[in-house]
Amino acid sequence: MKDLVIHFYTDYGVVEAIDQLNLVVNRGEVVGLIGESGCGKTTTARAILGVVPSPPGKILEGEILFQGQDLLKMERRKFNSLIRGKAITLIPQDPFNSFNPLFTVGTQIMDIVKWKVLSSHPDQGNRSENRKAIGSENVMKKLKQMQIPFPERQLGKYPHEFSGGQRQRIMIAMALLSNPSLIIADEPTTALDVTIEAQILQLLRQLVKAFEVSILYITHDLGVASQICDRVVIMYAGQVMEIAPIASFFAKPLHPYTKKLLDSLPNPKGTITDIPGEVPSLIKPPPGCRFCTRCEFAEPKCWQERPVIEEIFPDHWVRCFHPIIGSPVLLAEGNLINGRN
Amino acid sequence: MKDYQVFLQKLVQDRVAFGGFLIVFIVILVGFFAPYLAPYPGDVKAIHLSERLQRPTLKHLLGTDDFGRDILSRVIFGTRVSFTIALIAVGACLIIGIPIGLYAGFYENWLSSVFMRIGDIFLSVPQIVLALAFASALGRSMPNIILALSVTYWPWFSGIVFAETRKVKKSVFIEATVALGASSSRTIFRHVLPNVLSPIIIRSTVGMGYTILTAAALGFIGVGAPPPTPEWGIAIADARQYLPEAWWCATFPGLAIFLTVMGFNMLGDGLRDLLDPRLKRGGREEIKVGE
Amino acid sequence: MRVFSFILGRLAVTPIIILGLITLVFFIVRVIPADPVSFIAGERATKEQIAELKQKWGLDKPLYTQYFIYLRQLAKGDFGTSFYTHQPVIEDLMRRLPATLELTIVAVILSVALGVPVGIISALGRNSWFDHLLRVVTIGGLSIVGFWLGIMLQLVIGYQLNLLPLTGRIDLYAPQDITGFLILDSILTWNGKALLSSLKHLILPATAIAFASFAVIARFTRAGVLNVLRSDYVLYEQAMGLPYFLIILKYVLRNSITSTVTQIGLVFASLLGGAAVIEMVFEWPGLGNFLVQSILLADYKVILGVTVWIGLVYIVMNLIIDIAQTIVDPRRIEQ
Repeated sequence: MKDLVIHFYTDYGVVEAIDQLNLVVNRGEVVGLIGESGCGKTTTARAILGVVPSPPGKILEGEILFQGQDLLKMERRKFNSLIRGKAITLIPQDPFNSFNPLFTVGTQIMDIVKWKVLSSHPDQGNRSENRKAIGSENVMKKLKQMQIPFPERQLGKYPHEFSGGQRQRIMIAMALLSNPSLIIADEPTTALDVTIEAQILQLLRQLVKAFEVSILYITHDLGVASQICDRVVIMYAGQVMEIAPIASFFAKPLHPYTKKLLDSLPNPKGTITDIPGEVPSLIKPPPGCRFCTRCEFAEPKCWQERPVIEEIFPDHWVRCFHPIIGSPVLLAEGNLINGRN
Repeated sequence: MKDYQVFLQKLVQDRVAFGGFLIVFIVILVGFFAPYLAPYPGDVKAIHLSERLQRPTLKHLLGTDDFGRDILSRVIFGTRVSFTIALIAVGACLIIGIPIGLYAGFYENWLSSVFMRIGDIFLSVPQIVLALAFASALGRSMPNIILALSVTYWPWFSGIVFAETRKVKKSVFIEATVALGASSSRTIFRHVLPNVLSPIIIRSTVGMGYTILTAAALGFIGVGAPPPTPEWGIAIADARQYLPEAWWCATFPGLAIFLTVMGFNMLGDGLRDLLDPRLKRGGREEIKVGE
Repeated sequence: MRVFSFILGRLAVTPIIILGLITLVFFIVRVIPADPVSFIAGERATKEQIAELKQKWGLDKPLYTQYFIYLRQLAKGDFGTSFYTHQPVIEDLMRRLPATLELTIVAVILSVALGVPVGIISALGRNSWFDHLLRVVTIGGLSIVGFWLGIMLQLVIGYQLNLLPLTGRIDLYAPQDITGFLILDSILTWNGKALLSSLKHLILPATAIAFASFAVIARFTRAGVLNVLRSDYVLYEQAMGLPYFLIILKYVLRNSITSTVTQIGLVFASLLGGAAVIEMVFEWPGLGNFLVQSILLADYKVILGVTVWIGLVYIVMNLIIDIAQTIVDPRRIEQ
C-alpha cells in the first residue's frame, strides 16, 4: 500500500482517518498491523478488499498494489471475481456475526466453493456433480485440517450451534479454500478465550508454513503478535509509526509510542505504566506527527512537520524526529515473549 | 459541532422533515388564529339555509354545505377541534403510559405483569373497534371522544417505554449503577428516561396524526363530537348524501385531514431518522441497484 | 424443545387476555345508554310489554349475573341472539365473514405485490431519487384517510368516469354459494359474468384499504433490507467476493423476509376490524359494517360477539406470527 489517504465525511466534519499509509507484505510473510482501537487498522484492511463504507468514507489518494496491479484502479467485476475471496481472503473479527444465521454452515461454505474455488478449477470441463464432489472433498479435507471433528456432520448445522472457537476455525478453513496469496486476519482471536486463542494461533502458524500464504494480521495485542508475526507495523491515529522485524521490534523499539506500548505490558514487577493524554480528534488533526500531543519528547516541530519514515536498523523503520536509539531495551524477565519457534 | 447544532442542521436539510414541521406549524397557527382567518367565523354555529350547497366561488372559496355554512371557515375551525382532541388524547396517553411502562419495565413483579396484560387486552383488537365501542357507550361529546381515544391508545406508549426500560435495565451499566448504590428512582430518571425519550417523541408525533385520523373516523361513523361541531369527519359524513353533485362538501374536509396528518407523519419520519441511530439511512458501498 | 415451551407459554397467557377482552367489552357495552329494548318495542310499548321483553332476554337480572350467564353460554359456543335480526349471532357473523375476508385478502395481496418489490428496490438504491420519492409516497399512504379516499374514488372513478361500480359486492348474478367467496364461487361454477362483476366491485374498496397497508409493508420491507445490508455477514459475503446477485437474491432476501412476513400478518389482522369504515362507504356487507350498525343500534350481543371474534382472530394471528418467527429464525428463542 502506497501513500494511502482515506477520509470520512461525517456530519461532525471530515475525519482524516488514514494519513499517507505505506505498507508492504511479502510472499509467505506474516505482517502484524498493530494499534489501539480506532487507529485505523480495520479501515486499512477494508480498503484492501474494497469494503470501506463509501458514503462517509472515501479513498482520496494512494495505490494498493497486489502482484503488480493497483487494486484501487482495477475494474469492478475483475476485482470481485479474481481478488476478493480468491487471491485475497478474509478472516473476520467476529465469527458469530459474520455467518449468515439463517443458512447452514454447509450452504455458506459450498457457496464459496462454487463461486470462488471451482470457477478456475483445472477440471473445468467436468460435469457439475463431479465438481461438487471435488469441492466437497476439498472442504472436508480443510475442515479436518482445522481439527474439526466429523466434518460431514457439521455442514448441516447452523452457525449458532457451534462454539466460538469452532466457528473461527471454520472461517479459517473458508479463507483457505481458494488457496489465496494473502489472508487478511482482522483480530481473529479477539472474541475468543485465551486457551482457544492459543490453539488458533498455533493452527495459523502451521498453515503459513504449509501453504506459503501471506497474512496481514491485525491485532492490538502485542503478545499475540509476538507469537505469529514475522514483521510488525505499528499504527497510531491513522499514521504508520514504526515498521520492524519482530525480534528487532521487541529488542530495540524506536518510536516513543512503541516504547510506551511495550512498557505498558503487564510485568511481574507489578508496575503499571500508561500513556498520559488522549488520542487527538482526527477531524482537525495535527499536520505533523499525530503522537505529538502525548509524546514526552515533543517539540513544536513535531506538530507542524510530518517526519519522514527512515530506516534506522536493518529493515527497521521509524517515523519520528526523536527515535529512541541507544541502549537496547532490557526486558524484565517474564515479559511475555514466546518467540515464534 | 455540538450535538444539537448538528441535529438542527440535519432537520433543516431533510426536506421531508422540515416540510412536515412547516405543515404542523401552519396547522397550529391556523387553529390558533381561526377566528381571524376564517372569512365567516359565525358559521361554526349559524345556519343560512338560503345559501345551501353553493359551489366554490369567490364569496365562498370552498363552497357551502347543506346548512349554508361556509366550508372554508368550518374547515379552519375544524383544525382547532382535531388538534385539541389529538393533543389532549396523546397527552393523556403519555401521562398514563409512561409511568406504567417505567414501572412495569423496571420492576419485574406481579404488578408489572398485570399492567402488561391489561395493555395486551387493549391491544388485542384494532384500536378503532374498541374506541368505537367506548365512544358509543359514552355518548357524543368532545370529552368522551377524547376519553375513548386515550383509553384505547395508551398501551402503545406504555409498551414502548416498557421495552426500552427493560432493555436499558438489562444493560451492564445499570447493574453497575445499582451496585454503586444509586436508588431506583435515580436510576430511572437519570439513565432510563433519556433512552426512552426519543422513541416516545417519535411515537407522540406520529400518534397525533393517527389520533386525528381515528377521531375523524369516529366522527364519520357518527359517534364523535355532536353537531354542529365543525369536525372534519362529521363534515364528510354529512356531505355523503349530497354526492356526487355537491362534491366540494366532502372533498375539502378530507383534504384537510390528509394534509394535517401527513404533516405529522413527515415530521415524525424525519425525527425517526434523526433520533434513532439504529434506523439510520446508512449502508455499505456497492450494493446498489444496477450493479 | 425450546420452541415447544415458548408456544406453551404463549398459549397459557392467551385465555387470560381473551377473558379480559370479553370482560372489558361486556362492561363497556352494557354502559350504552341506548336501550335496545325500547327501540325494538317501539314508541307505543307499555311498561308491561317492555318488562316482558326484558325478562325474555334476561335483561332484568343484575349485571354480574348476566356476565356469568354470557360466559357460560360462550363456553358452549353460543354467542347469543341478535335483538334485531333475531338470528344467532354466530350465523350473522358467519354470513358476513366471507365478504370481509375476501376484501381484506385482496387488499393485502395488492399491498404485498406492490409493497415488497418497492421496498426492496428502494433499499437497494438507498438515497436515490426513487428512494426519496417512495418515502414521500409511503408517508402519504400512512396519512391517507381511508373512507375519504373511498369516497373520492367513488366520485371520480365511479361517477365521473363511470368505470367501476360504487357499492355492494356484485350486481346481479350471484353465483351459487359454495364458499361464500364470490371470486372462488364464480370460478368453481364457471360463471364468468359473476367473476367479472365481483372483481369490478372489489377494486375500489380494496384500493382504498390497500393504500395504507402498502405504505406499511413497503416501509418495513425497506427497513428490513437496509438492516440486513448493514450486517456483518453481508460485509463478509461482499469481502469474499460472492457475486452481487447471489448475495442479494439468496441471502439478503431470505434474511429480510422475516420482518416483512410479520408485517403482512399484522396488517391482515388489523384490517379485519379496521376496514369497518370503508365497508360503510361501499355498503359492503361485511363484518365491519355489521359491527358499526349494531353499535349504533345498541345490539349488544352482536357487538360483543363481533368484537370478541375480531379480538380472537387478532390474538391467534399474533400467536401464529410469533411461532412462525421462532421457526423461521432459530436464534429467536435464545433472545
